[in-house]
Amino acid sequence: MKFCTVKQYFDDENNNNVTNGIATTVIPLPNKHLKIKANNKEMEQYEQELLRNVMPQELTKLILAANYLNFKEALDFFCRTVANAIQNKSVDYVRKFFGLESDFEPGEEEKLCKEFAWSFEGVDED
Amino acid sequence: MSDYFPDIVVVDILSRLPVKSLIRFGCVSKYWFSLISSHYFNTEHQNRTLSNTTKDSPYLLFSHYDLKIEKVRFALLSSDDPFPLKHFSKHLDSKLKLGVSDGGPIPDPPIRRILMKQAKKRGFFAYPSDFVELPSPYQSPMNKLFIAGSCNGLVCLADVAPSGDHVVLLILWNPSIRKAISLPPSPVVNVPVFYKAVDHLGFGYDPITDDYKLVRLVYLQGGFSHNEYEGDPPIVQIYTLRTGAWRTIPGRGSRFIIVQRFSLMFVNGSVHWFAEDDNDSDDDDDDVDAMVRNMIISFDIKDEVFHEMAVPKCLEGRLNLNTKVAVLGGLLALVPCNSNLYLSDPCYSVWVMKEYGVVESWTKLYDIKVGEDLESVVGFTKNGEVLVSMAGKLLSFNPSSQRTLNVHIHSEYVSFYLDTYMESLVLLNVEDGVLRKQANSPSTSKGRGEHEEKGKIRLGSVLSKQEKGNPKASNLQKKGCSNVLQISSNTLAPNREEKHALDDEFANDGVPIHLDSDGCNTPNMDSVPQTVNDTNIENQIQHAKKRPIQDTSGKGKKVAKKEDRISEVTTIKEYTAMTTERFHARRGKASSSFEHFAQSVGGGDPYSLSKAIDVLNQYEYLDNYSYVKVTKVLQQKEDRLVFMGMPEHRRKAWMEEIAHPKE
Repeated sequence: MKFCTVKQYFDDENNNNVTNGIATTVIPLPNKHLKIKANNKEMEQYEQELLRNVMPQELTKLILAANYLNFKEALDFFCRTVANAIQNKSVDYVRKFFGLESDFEPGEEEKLCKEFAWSFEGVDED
Repeated sequence: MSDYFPDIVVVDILSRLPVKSLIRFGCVSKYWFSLISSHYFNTEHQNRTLSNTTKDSPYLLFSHYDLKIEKVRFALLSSDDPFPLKHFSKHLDSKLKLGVSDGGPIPDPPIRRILMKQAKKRGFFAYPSDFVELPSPYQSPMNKLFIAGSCNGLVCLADVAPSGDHVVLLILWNPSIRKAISLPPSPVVNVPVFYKAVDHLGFGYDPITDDYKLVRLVYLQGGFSHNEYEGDPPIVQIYTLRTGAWRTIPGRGSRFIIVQRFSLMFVNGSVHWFAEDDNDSDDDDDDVDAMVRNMIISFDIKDEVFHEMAVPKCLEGRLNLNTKVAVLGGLLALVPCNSNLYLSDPCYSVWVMKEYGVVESWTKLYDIKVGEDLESVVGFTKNGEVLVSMAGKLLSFNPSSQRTLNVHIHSEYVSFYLDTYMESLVLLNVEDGVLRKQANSPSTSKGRGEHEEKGKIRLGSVLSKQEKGNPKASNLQKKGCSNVLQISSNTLAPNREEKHALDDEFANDGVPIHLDSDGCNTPNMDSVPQTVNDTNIENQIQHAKKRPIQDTSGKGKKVAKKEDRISEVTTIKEYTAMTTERFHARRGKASSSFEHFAQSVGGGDPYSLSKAIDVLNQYEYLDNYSYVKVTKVLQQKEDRLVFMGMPEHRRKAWMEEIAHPKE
């Protein structure tokens, strides 16, 4: 059931959502999961290792792959990682990370920042 | 809108973030702001929080009136271990280590013991760890802000009149996003002569309309003896957050009379109160015991219907048990905590209704054995302990070990509040008590300036610098509370607009007339001399006619209100002695009897010595000696405040005590 999308993926060759490199990272995950299902700590360590080699930008690709493949555990894991990574970051960092641009009118953003100034305290440097 | 990430992924990621980060990321783009403010996102976020922390709230919301600083304090505690044993020793050890320069061992036990004693005297909140202080959204002039209820991270605060009978201002507050709104005034209730209005509140969430509702039950109390009830069930008024307005529902509430203020509980979709059936409206005290029946009234928030539920048989007929409704582990609970042993036998226990709605399922869990003179049960902790107050102290009782611990927090028992709490984004998109439309959210910031005044309490961005590396935050984090709020420990002063409004009111002489709750115009009864002064009354009634009633009911006003001088309706004897003529004269002139729940500001200081003396003068029976003694005490402002704020019978007892102090 986890792999119906994967099956489609292999069937469908005109697929550019998931590059090969990513596929090799994501697909072995379920096997590992099954092996160390009971032991959470091991899983965490495995995940940490995996992530050490992955740049933040690659993470976005991983997420998209996991999403496309409809792979819940991986998606959960990657999202959790992203959330932890961006939790304390600035607004600009987040914009860059997600590839977003501010669409506020000139004065609006300032007003918002002023109103919620307290939420900007203790933010990491970029 | 991101090209890379599908929305569902963005929501997944964002829903894992603490509220503080979310608020900040609302500035990323318009789309993100509206997404984060949306109800859909709030639900996702809350669901995730609940599932992460094993289906239980991560925090406890605690409030009390701190006698030392004379302010109400709001704080978040860890729900696992709200008052950790090591709280004082942690600070003590670090302090002692600092003193010992070579980092050697902690000094002798005797010194440590003394220091520990001192530390405990300073109280739990003197040491900034294990709690996060929440800046109060509003400075009540009486400094008594009560929590009426809290639900899904939204807290309802009530500023109460000194007499304690009714609410003067209601506020909805979300501490996680530091936003509060004040509610508009509730519909005016006609109060007949000799009666006053007593109100009780209920607060809860309606999942069908996805709305928060506040219900207000207005009882009419008074008559010739101030204990009698008018006999009719209460009027029911409801406020809904989505509409931002009050309405009165047709029909009346349950005829049972709710006894305690601010002892409501929202569970299973209904608000519950403990009440008595006061069928017997005679003053025949002999039969009172036989006639009383205790009950639980519940008000279903979504259907807006009242129901009654029976209490355990052994609690049914007993009076004066000071019972409250509570929630323990998601179950409805009853906690009789009889504080007045002259009226009834001691009874301190905890009952739960194992199956909601099934009377037979009432089960007594345990007796609270802390000693006699327990004042009230404050709340429960996740690890099964119950917090109680005794002689103003907060104690923690563990039913399995039967041990009692002193938490070292002092207060007036009536002000303790403890309940579960979780972070939420409710109120983020609310302006002036009415929900903004999604599409407009960031662009209404232009119009926001205009809305600034109306019924909204703005939280200034005044924050202390001490927030970097907040020790409280890191401590709570260690305890496993992942979503910690970085908050200043300074309470906020009223902002400039409020201050100006306050000054204006004082300066203005013809300001809204304060109307006594007995329905007639009794402007400043104390300052009016004993003989009838018709011109004065004439003028003031004219004012009343000119001013629209909405002005005086002032629930939405952020201004300080002073309570009416004569807070409780006096007995017939006193009325005839003092006011009958004036009263009749005024009744003829006043357009109709209106009742108001806010008391406006008159000119000058309402608690001046001259006004206090005027109040004192009504007691003609006082002998000279007592009179002089009382006037001496009234030199102090605090005593004047007390003297004039007290109900009639209390005041007499107070004067008695001053004149003839018990040894």
